[in-house]
Amino acid sequence: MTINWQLLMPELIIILTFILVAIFDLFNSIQKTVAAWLTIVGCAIALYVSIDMLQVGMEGTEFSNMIQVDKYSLFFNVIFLVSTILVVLISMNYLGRTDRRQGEYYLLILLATLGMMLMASGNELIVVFLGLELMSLSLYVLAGYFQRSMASSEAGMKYLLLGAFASGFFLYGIALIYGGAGTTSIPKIASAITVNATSPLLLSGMFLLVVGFGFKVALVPFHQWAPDVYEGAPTSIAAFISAGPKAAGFAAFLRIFLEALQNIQSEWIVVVTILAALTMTVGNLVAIAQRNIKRMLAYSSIAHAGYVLVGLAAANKDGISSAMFYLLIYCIMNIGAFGAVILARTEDGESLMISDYAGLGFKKPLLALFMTLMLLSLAGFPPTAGFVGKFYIFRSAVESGQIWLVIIGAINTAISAFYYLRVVVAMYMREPEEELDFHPYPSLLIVALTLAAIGVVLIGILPSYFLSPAQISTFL
Amino acid sequence: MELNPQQLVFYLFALLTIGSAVVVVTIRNIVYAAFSLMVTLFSIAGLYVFLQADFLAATQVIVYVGGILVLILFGVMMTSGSLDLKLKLERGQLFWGGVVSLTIFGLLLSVITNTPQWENVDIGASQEPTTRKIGEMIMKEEYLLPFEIASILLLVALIGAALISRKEVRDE
Amino acid sequence: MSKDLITLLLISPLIGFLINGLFGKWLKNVSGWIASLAVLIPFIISAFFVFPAVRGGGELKAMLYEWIPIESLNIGFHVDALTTVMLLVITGVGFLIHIYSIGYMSHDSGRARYFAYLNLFVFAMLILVLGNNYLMMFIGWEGVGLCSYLLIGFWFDRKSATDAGKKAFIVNRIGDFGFLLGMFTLFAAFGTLNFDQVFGLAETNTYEQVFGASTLIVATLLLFIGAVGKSAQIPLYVWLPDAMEGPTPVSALIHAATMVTAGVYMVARSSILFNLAHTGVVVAWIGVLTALFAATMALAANDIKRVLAYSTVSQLGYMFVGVGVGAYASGIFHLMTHAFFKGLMFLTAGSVMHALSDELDMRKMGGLRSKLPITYWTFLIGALAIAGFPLLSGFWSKDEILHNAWDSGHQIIFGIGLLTAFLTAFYMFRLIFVVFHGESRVDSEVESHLHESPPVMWIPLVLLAIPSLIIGAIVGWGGEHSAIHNFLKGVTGFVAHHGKAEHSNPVPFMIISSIVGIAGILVAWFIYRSKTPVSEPTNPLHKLLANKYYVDEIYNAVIVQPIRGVSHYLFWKIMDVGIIDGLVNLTAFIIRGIGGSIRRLQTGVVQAYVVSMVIGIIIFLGYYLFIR
Repeated sequence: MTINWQLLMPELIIILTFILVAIFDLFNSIQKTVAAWLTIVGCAIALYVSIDMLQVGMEGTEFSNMIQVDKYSLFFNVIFLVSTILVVLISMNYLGRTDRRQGEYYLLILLATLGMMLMASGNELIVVFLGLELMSLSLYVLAGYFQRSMASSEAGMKYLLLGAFASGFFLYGIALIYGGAGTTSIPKIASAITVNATSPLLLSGMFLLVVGFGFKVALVPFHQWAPDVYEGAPTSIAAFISAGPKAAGFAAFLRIFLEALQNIQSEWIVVVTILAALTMTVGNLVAIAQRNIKRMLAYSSIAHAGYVLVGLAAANKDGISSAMFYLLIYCIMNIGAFGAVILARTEDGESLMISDYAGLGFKKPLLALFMTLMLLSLAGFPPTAGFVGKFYIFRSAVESGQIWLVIIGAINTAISAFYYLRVVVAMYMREPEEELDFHPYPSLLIVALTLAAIGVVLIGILPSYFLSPAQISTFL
Repeated sequence: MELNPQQLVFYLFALLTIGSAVVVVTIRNIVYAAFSLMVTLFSIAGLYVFLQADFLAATQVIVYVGGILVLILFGVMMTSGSLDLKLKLERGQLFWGGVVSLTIFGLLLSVITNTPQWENVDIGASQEPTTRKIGEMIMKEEYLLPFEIASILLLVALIGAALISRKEVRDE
Repeated sequence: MSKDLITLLLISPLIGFLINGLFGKWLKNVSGWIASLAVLIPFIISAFFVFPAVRGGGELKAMLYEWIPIESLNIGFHVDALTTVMLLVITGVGFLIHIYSIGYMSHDSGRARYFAYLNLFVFAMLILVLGNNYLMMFIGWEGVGLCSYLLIGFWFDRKSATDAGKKAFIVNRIGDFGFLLGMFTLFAAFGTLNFDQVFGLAETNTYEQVFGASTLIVATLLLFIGAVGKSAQIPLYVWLPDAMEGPTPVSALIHAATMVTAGVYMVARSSILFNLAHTGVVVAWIGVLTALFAATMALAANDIKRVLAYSTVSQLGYMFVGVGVGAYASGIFHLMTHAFFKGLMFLTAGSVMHALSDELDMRKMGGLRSKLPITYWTFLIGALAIAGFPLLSGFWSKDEILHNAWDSGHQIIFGIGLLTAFLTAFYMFRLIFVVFHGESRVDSEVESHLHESPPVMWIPLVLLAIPSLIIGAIVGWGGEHSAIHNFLKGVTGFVAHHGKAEHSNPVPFMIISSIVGIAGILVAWFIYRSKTPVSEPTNPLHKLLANKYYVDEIYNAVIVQPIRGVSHYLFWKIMDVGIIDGLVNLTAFIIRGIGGSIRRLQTGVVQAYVVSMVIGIIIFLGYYLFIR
């Protein structure tokens, strides 16, 4: 059996990086930041290779159709790797030089990234599941990384318990689909299922897959882990969990539902539409009530999953490409927002209450500028990337006739502006309640935030340069 | 309804599986719970035999009964004081848990009963062992990749366990 | 070719902005020259490349890049005769004002910031006039508003400056909101915001009637609200006099020559819509009332820049009369001449201030004619131009507007306009006699270092005085066959003359308006030739005028205070404290409630999460199995 290793270059590079980091981590004499730099370099090379393959248009299946490398999976590789690089950049100053366990931190991030890449390229439910588990398992541990912090340990534990529960449903769903279609290979399922098949086995299997993905991407009502985990986990990991894994979940979600289950589209579109509406609405409404900025961002990221789901509910080519485009934007701006939270550190730790941000606009202008930009983008103000992302998502839904969903989405966008702008207003128009002693700006964090800010503005101004790769990369 | 010996044994195992599983979640003594879990896992191995999945049955016994369960028992015994630990079950939990589980059970049952037609897979009359076939599928054919990913998955578990158990050390 | 030209034209001030914004700290005196160069380049392009290309009725179109594949949302540019006039005014007058600023701001430590804002303003203004759709126009519209706000509040350590900036910002928001709604209406009706498409569909009457037959009326009036805000017309003019808190060259550039005329440009650009909707008459009436109202306030003002500010408001009213009665070319003509002479007068006022250590009160001036000869003569030219003295530039454009008002059947508007012309001549020469003639009332300390401005400042004055003298005759000679009309014919011909094809003879109108203008000058001479202005107003009319009709006070009592009250009680007390805090408390209450039945928060919540997940699963599974 010969294997076309070229096709798997990005994955192999990540594995190689993993091995290198693991070896370097053995030596105590070597600075721990080397692990981080190795991770960044490895991911950057993998990113370059992915982009190159995307441009060349390298496609193919490998390992007896287990893996389907195509432009779709490569585009998602770009999203994952960009997120990972940004997260590592914001992590380095956050963890500090003195933490001796950093090696494992980056090892787990690398393996989680590998899991995401497998999810995006998996052509087989089993591979998708294994990728999902690889990613999740790493995240459970990372969420509980700060052992001294009760909140962090609790976050890890909660995430593990609930995640295992959701994985059970997901696996059961795969089993039921196997029962209904007689195979777990995505293209074979597609040909096995006749149009409008209504076998209860298939339908319930299909829905249980929704549950599994719904948990991973935090759709209402499978979302409740998210605020607790985001709040408790290290902020850099909260940024990580909110970005790449969500994109990975959607990558597999979109591929399985629009390829394997396309013949029973009329069945799943109901639940997807309802979940999208529910997720946007609950996410945004509850976010208004939050006083803690990490919890607010958690609910905001729940709401954003709802927007992406609108792309799936549109169930057309534009829906997929706009969802991909939106996920790219979302990852950048969300990591940026969490990065800005890290930037607002005081001697007592992070300032997490929104009231702590009062008056920052003049005291820490750079921080406030980054935060404002990211929040405006999350709220979807033109000419930021968030606006064009939402625009394309909603447009694809209009094209497929989901007018009501778009109206709900538009109302939600308006609601969301309220809580995003509240932070901005607090920063620029309120007097600080107490004098907080802020840390000086860490340089790498500034680099990461600058990159994110450039991304948000650039995509906002030149969307077609980023959208057209997504448009030619759909699998439909 | 006539029961042939084969069916009789099947129902015995099924009953054992469910019965011991109920004991696991209801009993208060943690050691007893662990031991009835062993019964559950063992009877599941028996059910695998009925499905002519001989390799799976053997693996179930070796890994779950022989490995994981022993680990659980070790864990229980080495954690001081946990032998006397009485597991509490509150009425509210029991009620909600019961309602939710029974409803899910009913729904899944109706999935089974509503399925109009089950695909019968012909496994062949020859009762040859499955080990060879599984081995070939994993090592030579299509399931090579999942097998490798599973190994990485175990590596993650390993690293994670090491990280969590390691003390948070900082250089001065 | 046209794309590269327009791109270069547009990005040159942007680059200037970036250089001054990023590296201003190290540039010191160079920043002003860089900024000036950044405006000179677009002027050269406009004058030597764009102007000849457009002259024969040509148009330049360029799609810079596709933002979103809806045509009106793209960054597309469209240069026709109307745009070209605006381009020449913005870059030409703008360049001279930049040069002047080098001298004026030479002692200010924040001059890099100042020039950065000024370049950014030019950039935004260019976007406003170059865009081929309403959205681009709106982006530019907001951009110039932002720059205006930043520059009014440039000396942010002065509270009055920041207050004035805020006032300008808020009042403009009202207008912008109207513009935005008008834009939405157009988009709903036409499905596009592209000028060509909107006008084409409007003319062929193929559009969605969002508001029934009055769709266009609603749309144009909403757009006009935007123009009222930006161009400081009744009732939103209040921000402009306060905007004089900014540096004087800013007042000349933004609040006289360019930004405030954006409203006039917008109405002229939308001429087809205004013609079809017949809403021009509203525009004309608002314009003429503003012209009169502002002129009366200028009579009693003692602050030299405020007189000029009211005069600007008044002249903008004239322009709206022009575009309102359908004489779009005349309105734009007046826009152009006004940019020269009003820009000139503001700069001379700046020169006076410069000489008198930032003194603004006319009562503390007097007799400056001999001390500041260049300033005096250039100001005199500007004043004669605005007063409509025969053959100077203002004479031609103002006369045309009045003539067209009469011809289109608006005799009352003509009458009020004529009265305003008299008042204009009067208050301008009141200013001249008080400031430059008579006894000197300057503080002795200030008088000791009284000096004429440096060349970098007076050369731009002279360069602006020349067009103020002659540009009217050059482009305006010959009425409707004049150069400016021929140039603008393709865009804004004499379209809507309410059926009147015939023009009456212009000569009587010229004679009448000359007489009125000269009469105003003479009356001012009789009154103020030697008389010192009273320090405190005594008679009630004078008091009313000096207090600007108490409009600011009325707005404060009727609008500002109630809104403040409402926002405090409704948004803070009820929304924020009541609803939001209520939600927070409710959430906490519910979580506590669940905790009561299941367990405490720490471990209990996980089970609660699982239960809620499973309930979700049950509902959907039940749906699939039984209901579907």
